[in-house]
Amino acid sequence: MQEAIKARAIQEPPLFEREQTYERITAQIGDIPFDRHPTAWTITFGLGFIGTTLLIFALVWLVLIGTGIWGINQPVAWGFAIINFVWWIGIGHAGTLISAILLLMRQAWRMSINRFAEAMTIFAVMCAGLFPLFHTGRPWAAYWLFPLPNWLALWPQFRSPLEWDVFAVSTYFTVSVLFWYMGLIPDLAAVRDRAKSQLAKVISGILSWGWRNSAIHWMRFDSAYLLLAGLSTPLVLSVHSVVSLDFAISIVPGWHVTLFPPYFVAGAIYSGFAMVLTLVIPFRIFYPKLREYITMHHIDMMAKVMLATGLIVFYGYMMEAFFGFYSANLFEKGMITNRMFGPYWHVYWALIFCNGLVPQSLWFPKVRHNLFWVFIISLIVNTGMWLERFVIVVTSMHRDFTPSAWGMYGPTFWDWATYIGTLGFFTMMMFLFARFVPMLAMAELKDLWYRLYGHRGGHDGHAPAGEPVHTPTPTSGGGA
Amino acid sequence: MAHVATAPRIYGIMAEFDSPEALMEAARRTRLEGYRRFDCYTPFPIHGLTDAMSIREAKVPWTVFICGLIGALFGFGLQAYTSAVDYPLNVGGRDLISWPYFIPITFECMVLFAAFGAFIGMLAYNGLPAPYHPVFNVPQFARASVDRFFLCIEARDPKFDPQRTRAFLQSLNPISISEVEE
Amino acid sequence: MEAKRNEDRLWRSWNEWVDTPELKAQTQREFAPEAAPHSDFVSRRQFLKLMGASLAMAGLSACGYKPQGPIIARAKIPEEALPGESLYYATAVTLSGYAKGVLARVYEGRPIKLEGNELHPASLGATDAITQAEILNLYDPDRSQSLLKFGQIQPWQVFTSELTQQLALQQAKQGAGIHLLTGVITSPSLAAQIQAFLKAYPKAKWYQWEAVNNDNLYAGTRLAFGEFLNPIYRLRQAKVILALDSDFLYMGPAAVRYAREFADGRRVRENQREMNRLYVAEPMPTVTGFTADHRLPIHSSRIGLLAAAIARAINAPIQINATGQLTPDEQKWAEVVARDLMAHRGESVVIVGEAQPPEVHAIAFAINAALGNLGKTIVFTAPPEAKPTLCTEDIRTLAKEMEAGQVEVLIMLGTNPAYDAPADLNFAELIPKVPFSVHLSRYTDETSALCVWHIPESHPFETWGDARAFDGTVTIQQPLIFPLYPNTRSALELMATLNGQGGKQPFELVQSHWKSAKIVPDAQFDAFWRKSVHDGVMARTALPVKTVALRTNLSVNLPTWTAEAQLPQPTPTSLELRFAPDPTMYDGRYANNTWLQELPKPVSRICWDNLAFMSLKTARELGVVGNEKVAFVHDSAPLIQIRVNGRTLIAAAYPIPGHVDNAITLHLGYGRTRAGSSGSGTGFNAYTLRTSDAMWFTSGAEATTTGQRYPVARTEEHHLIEHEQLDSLHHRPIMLIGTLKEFNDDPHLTKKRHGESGELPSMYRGYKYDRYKNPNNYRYAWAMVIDPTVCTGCSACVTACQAENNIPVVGKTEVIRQREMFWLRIDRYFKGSPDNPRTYQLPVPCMQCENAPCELVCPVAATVHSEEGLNQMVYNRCVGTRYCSNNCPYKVRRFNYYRYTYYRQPVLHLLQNPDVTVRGRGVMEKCTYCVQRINRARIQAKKENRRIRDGEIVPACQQACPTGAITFGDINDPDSTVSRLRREPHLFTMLEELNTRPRTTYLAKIENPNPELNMEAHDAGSH
Repeated sequence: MQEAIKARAIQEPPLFEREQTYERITAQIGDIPFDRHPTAWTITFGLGFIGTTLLIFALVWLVLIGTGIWGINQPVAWGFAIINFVWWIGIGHAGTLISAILLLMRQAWRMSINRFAEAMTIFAVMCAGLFPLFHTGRPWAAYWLFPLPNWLALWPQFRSPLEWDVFAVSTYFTVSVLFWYMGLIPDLAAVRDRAKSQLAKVISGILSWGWRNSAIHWMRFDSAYLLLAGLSTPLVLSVHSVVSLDFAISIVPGWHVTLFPPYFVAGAIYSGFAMVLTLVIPFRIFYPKLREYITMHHIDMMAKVMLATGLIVFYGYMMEAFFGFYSANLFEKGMITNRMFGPYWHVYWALIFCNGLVPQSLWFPKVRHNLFWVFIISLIVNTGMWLERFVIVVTSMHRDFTPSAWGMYGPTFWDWATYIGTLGFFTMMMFLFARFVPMLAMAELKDLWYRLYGHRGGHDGHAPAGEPVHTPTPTSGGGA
Repeated sequence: MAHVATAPRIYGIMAEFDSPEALMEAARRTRLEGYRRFDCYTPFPIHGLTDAMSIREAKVPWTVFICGLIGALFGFGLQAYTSAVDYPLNVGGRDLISWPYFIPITFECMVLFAAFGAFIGMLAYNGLPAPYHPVFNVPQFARASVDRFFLCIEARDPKFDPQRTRAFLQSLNPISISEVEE
Repeated sequence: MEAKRNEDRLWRSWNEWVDTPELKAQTQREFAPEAAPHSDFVSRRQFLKLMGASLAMAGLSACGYKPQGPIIARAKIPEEALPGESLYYATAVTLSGYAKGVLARVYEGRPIKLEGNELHPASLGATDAITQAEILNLYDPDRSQSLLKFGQIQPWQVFTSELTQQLALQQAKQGAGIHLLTGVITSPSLAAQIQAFLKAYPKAKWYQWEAVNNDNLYAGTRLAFGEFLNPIYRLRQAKVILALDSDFLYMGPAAVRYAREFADGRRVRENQREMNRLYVAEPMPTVTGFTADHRLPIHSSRIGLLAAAIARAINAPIQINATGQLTPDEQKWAEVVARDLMAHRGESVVIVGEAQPPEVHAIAFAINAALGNLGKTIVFTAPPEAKPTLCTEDIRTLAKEMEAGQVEVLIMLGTNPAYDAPADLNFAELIPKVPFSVHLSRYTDETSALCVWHIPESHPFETWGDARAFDGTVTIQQPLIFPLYPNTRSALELMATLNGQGGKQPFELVQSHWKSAKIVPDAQFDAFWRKSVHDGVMARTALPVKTVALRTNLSVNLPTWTAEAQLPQPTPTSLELRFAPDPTMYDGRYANNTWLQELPKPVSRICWDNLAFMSLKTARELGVVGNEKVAFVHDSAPLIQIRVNGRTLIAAAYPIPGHVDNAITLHLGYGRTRAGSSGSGTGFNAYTLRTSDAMWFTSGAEATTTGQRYPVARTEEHHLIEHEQLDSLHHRPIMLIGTLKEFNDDPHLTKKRHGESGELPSMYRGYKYDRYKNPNNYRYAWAMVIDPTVCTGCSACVTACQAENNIPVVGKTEVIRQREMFWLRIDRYFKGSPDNPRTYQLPVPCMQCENAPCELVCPVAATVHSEEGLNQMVYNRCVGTRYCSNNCPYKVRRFNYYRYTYYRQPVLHLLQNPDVTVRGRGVMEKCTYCVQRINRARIQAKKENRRIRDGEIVPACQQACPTGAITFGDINDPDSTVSRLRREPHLFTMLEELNTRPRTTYLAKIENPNPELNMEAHDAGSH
């Protein structure tokens, strides 16, 4: 196994951009929380904070006045809220995928981005969770969706996909947090052992539960971590399948599609990786230290995954269209025709452009290795995935079975405020994470370094402690 | 016994190494020497180390499995009981126990319980949280989370003898040897 | 005595109310003529709040309701109402004088719902939308409550003293200066009072004015028979009906009855395979036109020619000198219709609308005479009015006299001439010229604002009165509630005051009149009175049928008003302008009734507005719409400026399928300035273009676009140009349509079109709704069958549902955002070309699916199924995820996006039906099959230890339906009406392939087209 990894890693462009020592890894990553933070951090955090305030404002107003402040109506009773919910949940998935599935697949390159991606997952799911809660007509009664014994002796209705959501999303959130935190424990221990300020020592000490790197602990840690990965993998697939069932269970043309679960999962990973790239590229710029560990090779790999999932999604679109016309079902046909040429045609074709055409440019290594373009493409894909949810939710609803009940949907100021608000909240949380938590999994990186270049790791050991090695190796795979 | 009380009690003797290989070798030798109660400390999990220490256990996997099982049963039980026994309702003309609809929640509950099993199990078996542990009394042990590899033979070990154990560890040519105070 | 004390208490609180200075200030601002209803919202709000205080007391007094004089409840326990039990009182709702009999449901002293009175000739147990909404007028918070002199609140004493002075002055000259202006009056007791007054002041004059009147009809009868006559149609006997510019199924005092009789001749069943045939020629589509088997769009000005052509074809005994001729198509149409009429001598009828000139009426009578219909399908009586007259003449003379300053005392009862009098009379400028003008009305409306005195009028439900129906039958109106406001008076009371009988209770006035009428000997009078009041109809008061003969060598000129020139064939540059009463506002009197404002107009599906309707072709020529494929997905219409002989009006233009080209139709009744907080400022005032020489239509109008747009609220997405929408029936199995011929060839239309309908496979056993839960426990299974063949789309059911189920009104902006709350909607589908499409109406309540998709997706079990098959909505469990609505293929669920049911004005709380939960914000709601009525019947049946009888439960929609298109009942009882209907071969299920197994099913829409006329429209539907 190790040999295999080593072999692969040798012929691939390096996962580290320069010579490392265990000490250096700890120092480079573990010290970031203690460094001065770039002004870029302050500015972006500030923006995020403003967004968060906007979000709070929008939600308070919503609860005071009612869902009427949004653009929803009959027949389009679901609007931005559900679109954003699906979008955020989808973004979350990349984190779990990287940390869990790639771990099981022994993908060496996951090591340096998993913690980062997991954090993203957690915050994305937080944003997602807001929407189902607040889109209800009576949010204060939303707790009725939980199976709490009550004096009415009433229980939730477990046949409803919305009920499945409650379980899926809450489980997903919990498991993601556990997974993330568990991976964090040894690193927090490392921070504890290096921390100069007493406060940092105490906090990290408490949070690391007195971890002492014992071999036996490591063994149990490993098996638990692997098992969590093994659990998260079907979980992440199930969550977005359930989300897709929110639509697929219904009888509405354009929702009632058996294709949805796989196609939603692919879409989720697609948007997730796009979001990871959208975040990683600026972070690499803000924190130059990270460039040693998040190399062009990582960018390249993520771009490839994006391309692959993008193709699956695109296939999904083509299939939808095909079903529509081939089904010989009047309503299906009407639905797809309406999508393509109805009043919302521009949204549909914008979607095809963003998710279908633009990502094709990732076939070219030149594009994949150009940070600027990768960043732009990742933004476009994010937009595209949002449009996809808009197309699914709105264009299916606004003209369904009975023509007399057809209508149109348009967002209001408050729809936008809530959406932008969550974006702000997400940014704020990401930057807080960067500020206070080791962004990369140090222990895992050391492990990786040891596996790949164990011998070097060996004799580096002889070097005087604490003094890093300054013999950069030529970096293939293009520099940033 | 008063004078004994004054002398600091010893938790064990700890040797410091600078590479995984050295530690691995040391662990194997210690085991051969007949020591049972000893432990290694490494900044990252080193595969094969526990084999070298010839420690085998599968507590965590079992815990996870059991928890998962309980979770699944709970999930399905909850749905079946509430919608068929406790408060049966005619919902869209579907059967009271329309099991296909119950699968997703059953699954989620399984995952949730299992995940908690893994996390809490790991901590519990590791005896964490541990607010205090003697090994931290060794100053250079701080590097156990950075780039040093330690092996500590504990005083509880029947074969433990301060002089002989120290001599034995010397023979593994570590960077340093230190007594771990209780 | 009790009543007295109530009045005192209220009166005192009233005084306290006026005395506080800041309130005085507010009231003055409120009633100042320049105050626009919406301008001072805050002060208005406080004002209403304070008004609320006194209203709450009115409510209290209403609860301890003691009738003035012995009224008779239409229930077993007459006098004392049981708490929780409703009493039904027979009374009448009048519209321009004519009575429609109703039973008012009075719950603990407050009337909350009106139902038809099956004993009443104009109701036959049903009502129309306007009648249903009358109850809201009673509780309208904007009702006037106090006497005003120049906008200042005054006590009664001041008015009476001033009045007596004025009368004293007039006494000298025998009342030469006194002029009475009333609406059309059929009330015998009121008429008697007026006559008495006129006797006391011989030179005083009495005029009547209705903006929507019978002038043309009466002039027509005078032309044809030499006297004013009142035609009554017997449509049950009519096999072929020709309506010329007449909306007889919807408009007019007998519309409800006519609709029922018409429908009875149309119910096609497996064992009843005959149906009548309806031809309609009209410019603007009406309910009648959309119901017709053949509809010909034609200008009002050329209907006469059509009538003439038919008259010639069946050589009716009338000499017609006509200029201008018909197009070949119209000519053919006329001939075919004539042939059909001749084939049904004595069992056909020609009906002409109020808009057509007397000549056309005369021609129609001649045709009917020639066909031998007189005395069979059409009979004549004397007019039921107390004083039949030509309103336009009246108002014109009055205006002249006011101009000349001969009018010193002007007393107006109820009418609103300042708003609806012909524009050329400038009535509004004339009123201030009158030294002493008194206006009695329920609102301080446009006329009140100009008068010296405004007297608040009481609602008919608050006092005693009487009125005649279209056939003369008298109904005694009983008070249903203690007057909400102490100062209001009825016209009868005011006239009594004028006659010096101010002290008399209205009850005495009415009863004494009928005692003196000597219908029965005095000995039997009490019994007779009790019965009349109880039944809501007075025996032996229907007017006797007259035998009439056409005048010999009758001759008319057509069209009289264009005798000077060749008939002006309307062109894009010289349009025909047609005025019509608004389907819900009528002549504008209901402007402040929010139910009627929000009710989608039966034909156009527009709410809260009247628009300038025109054909698509004309709209394009005027540049109102482009040639885009999908028109009007947006919610606004362009404003155009209409100019006709010197007068102009800006109105929003709106193309409507089936409208005749080169013509514009404007509905009366909008653009009011002082209708009340809800009605003012809606729509466009068509009266500004309506002159006394062209009351109904005129030619030579021009229209140009202004470039601005106007928001339009409608309840159906209106892209009529999109082919898919026009032919949506063609593609979608939503409605099943067939012709009588097809039905007679093989009645199993459903099988033929939708294929064999069997059990669709399911992986679940499904829920069984067996007759017996256990041997001695019968189980009902409720279901509804709707027959679109007889549905005219009149929307009475929609308003009835709204009244019964406390359905809130959401307002224009919310309707624009597609959030209207109607539980029952009427779908309208077009087929064929927009020039003259076939139109189909389909009432859509909740389908109560057995496999309800909505229930499945509710996460909190807020909507579940009852064992009797009802799809129940549990409001207080709903958290408002709205998934149920998304998953409802029929889209019948409605959501409270805001807190719609929130009335600041306590008086509106009196309106609520206590049997139906008032829904809060954030919950879903929908049709329940009127479950409260089901349970009421269930309780009754339990008490009497029996099963619920078939037909015992009547949902509000079925109850109101004039044509009996809706049937409700128990399908576990094989003999119930609904079970029998469900066995009909042409029964179909909407969207059956979804296997939702609805309990609401439909019969196929059967048409009876004449094979001689072009048929492609029909062929389109048939496969």
